[in-house]
Amino acid sequence: MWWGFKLELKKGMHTKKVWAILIVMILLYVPLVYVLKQGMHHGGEISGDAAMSLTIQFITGMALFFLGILAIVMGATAVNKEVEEGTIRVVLSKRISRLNYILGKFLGQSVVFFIAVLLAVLVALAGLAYVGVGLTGRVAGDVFLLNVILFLVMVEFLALGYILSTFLKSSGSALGIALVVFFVIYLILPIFVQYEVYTHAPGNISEGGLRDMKADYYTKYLFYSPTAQAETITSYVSDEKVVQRTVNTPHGTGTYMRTITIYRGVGYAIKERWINFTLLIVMSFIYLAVAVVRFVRMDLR
Amino acid sequence: MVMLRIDNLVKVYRDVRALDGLSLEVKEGQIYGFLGPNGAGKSTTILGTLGLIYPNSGRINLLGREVFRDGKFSEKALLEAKSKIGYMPEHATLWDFLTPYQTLDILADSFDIPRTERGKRIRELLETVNLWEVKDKKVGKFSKGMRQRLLLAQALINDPELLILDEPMSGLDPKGIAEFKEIIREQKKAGKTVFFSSHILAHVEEVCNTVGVIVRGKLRLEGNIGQIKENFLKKAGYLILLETNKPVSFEGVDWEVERVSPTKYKIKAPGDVREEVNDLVWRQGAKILQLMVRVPSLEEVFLSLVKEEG
Repeated sequence: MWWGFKLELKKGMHTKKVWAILIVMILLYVPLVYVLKQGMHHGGEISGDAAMSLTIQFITGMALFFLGILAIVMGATAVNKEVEEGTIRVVLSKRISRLNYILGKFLGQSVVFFIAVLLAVLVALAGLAYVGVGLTGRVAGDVFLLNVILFLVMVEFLALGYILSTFLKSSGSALGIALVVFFVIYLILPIFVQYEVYTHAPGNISEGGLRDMKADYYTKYLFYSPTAQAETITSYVSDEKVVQRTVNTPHGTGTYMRTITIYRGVGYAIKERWINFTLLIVMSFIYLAVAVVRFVRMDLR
Repeated sequence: MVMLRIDNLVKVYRDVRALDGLSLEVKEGQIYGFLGPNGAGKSTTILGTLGLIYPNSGRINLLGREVFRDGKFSEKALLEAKSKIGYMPEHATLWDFLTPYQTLDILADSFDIPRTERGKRIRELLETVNLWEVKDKKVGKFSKGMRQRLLLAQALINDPELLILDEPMSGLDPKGIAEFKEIIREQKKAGKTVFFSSHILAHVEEVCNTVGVIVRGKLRLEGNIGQIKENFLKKAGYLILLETNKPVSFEGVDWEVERVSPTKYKIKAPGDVREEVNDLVWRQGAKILQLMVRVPSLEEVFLSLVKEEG
C-alpha cells in the first residue's frame, strides 16, 4: 500500500495538485477577508464569533462547490486515465497487488487534500488576523474543524469519483458524468428534499424547528451527498434566538422582537449533528469499497 | 524448467472471443517470438498472463507457480512470480513529471531493491538503453524512441528471469530496432528467457529461436524460426511478366493471370512453377520479361492460415 501512497503523494506534489487546491481555497478566502475588512471599517470592532460565523457561511457556500467538483473530477479520472495511458499496466506488472495499489493511491490523494487543507487553515488564520480578529484557541480550533469537514467532503467526493473511474473506461466520459453526478447531488436532489421539508412543515414551526426538520430530511434522504451532510452540520454552528427588546422614545416605551445569532462553534455543531459527521466518514468507506471491489476484478486494457 | 505454460486459455470480451483455447509453452533460455496479425490476441495473452485482465477459463503457470486456474488468480503465486518477471507494455507512458532516474528508482522500490544496489543498477540500465546522459531530464520531454527505451529499462529493473515484451519495436526507427535487438541478444547470452510479441516477422527472425503464430485467439503454428520460414517459403511463389505476339492459353494451371497490355501478361503463381513456365514459353512462343520469387508477407500467411481453418 505504501508504494502506491508514496507515488501518489509524489505525483500530487510534482503535478501541483496540492497547490491547485490551495489556490482555490485562498481565492475563496480573499472575498471573505475583504468583506470582514469592510465590516471593520464601517462598524468598528468585529468579534471572533461574528467573524467565524461569516467565515463559515462563506466557506460552506462556496468551498463545498469548488472543492467538491475538484475532488470528484480527480477521482473520476484516477483509474481510467492510468488505464488509457498504460501506466497502470507497468505498475501492476511489478510486485504490487491491485488492492494495495488502489488503497495506496486513494490514501495518497487524500493526504494531498489534507496537506492543502492544513495550508488553507494557516491562510484562513492569517486572513482573520489581518482583519483584526483575535486568534484565540477557539477561533483556531473552529477554522481547523471547518477545514476538516471540507476535507471529509473532498474525500467522499473522491471516493465517489473512484466508482465512476472504475466503471467508465473513458476518462473523458467519466469527467462529464462526474459533473452531472455532482450537480445532481449538490443541487438538484437537495431542491426536491427542501421542497418536501417546506411542504410537510407545520405552519407555526419555529426557525429552529425548521432547521431540525431539514437536518432530519437531509440525513434520511441525502445521506449519500457529502455537501448535504456538510451543510447540515454547519447549519448548527450558530443558533438564532428571538429576543424582546424595549425602547424608550419621547413618545413612550415600545417593545419589538429581534432575532439574534448566538455563535456556538464548529465543535458544538459536530457534536449536535454527529450522525451527519459520521455519514461523511462512513459513506466515504462505502464508496471506496465499491470502487475497490470493482477495481480488483476489472480488465486493465 | 518451463517459464510460462498456458493451457486452453479462453477470454471473451462481450461477444468477441479474443482467446479461443490458447495453449503454449516457453522454456527456460528460450527467446520466444509471439507472432500474429493485429487483433489476433497477442496482447490479451500477455495481459492475462500478468493478471492484468481476467481470462474466462484455462490455466496459467508462471515460473513453476500456478497463477491462474478455474477462473481465479492466486494473488500470492502471482506476486511471487511477478518479482522475477519484467514486462514492457505496447502502449504506455510513464510519469511525465519524473526523470528517468526517479522513474526507475520508484519502480525499484516495489521490489525492495536495497539502496546500495539500486543506484548502480539504475545507472547500468540507463547506460544500456542510452539514457544516462538525460537521466535528470523530465520524461515529459522525451521522444517516442526515448520513452520506449525507458519502458525497456523499467522492465529490466529487477533483473528478471522472464522478460515479457509486447510489440517492443513498434514506433522505433531502424537504429532503435537494431539497439533493441542487441539488448535482447544480451539477455539471451545471460541465459534469460524472453517472450515477445510482434506482427512483423523480420523483427523476430533475427533474435528468436522459437516462434509461435497466433491467429484469432489460437496458436496455429509453433516451431523454430527455420521451420516457420520453411512454412513461409512453401507459400512462396513467382511473379512473372510474359510477352507474346499471339494469344496464350493458361488452361490447366492455377495461376492468377492479368493481361496488362495486348501483348503482356502478369502472372502470380503459387509454389515452384519454373518448369511449367518454361514449358509454356517453349510451346507457345512467349518471352519472359521478368521473373521474381514472391515471398508472401506475414499478413498473407496469417490470412492463408485463417482460410485453411475455414
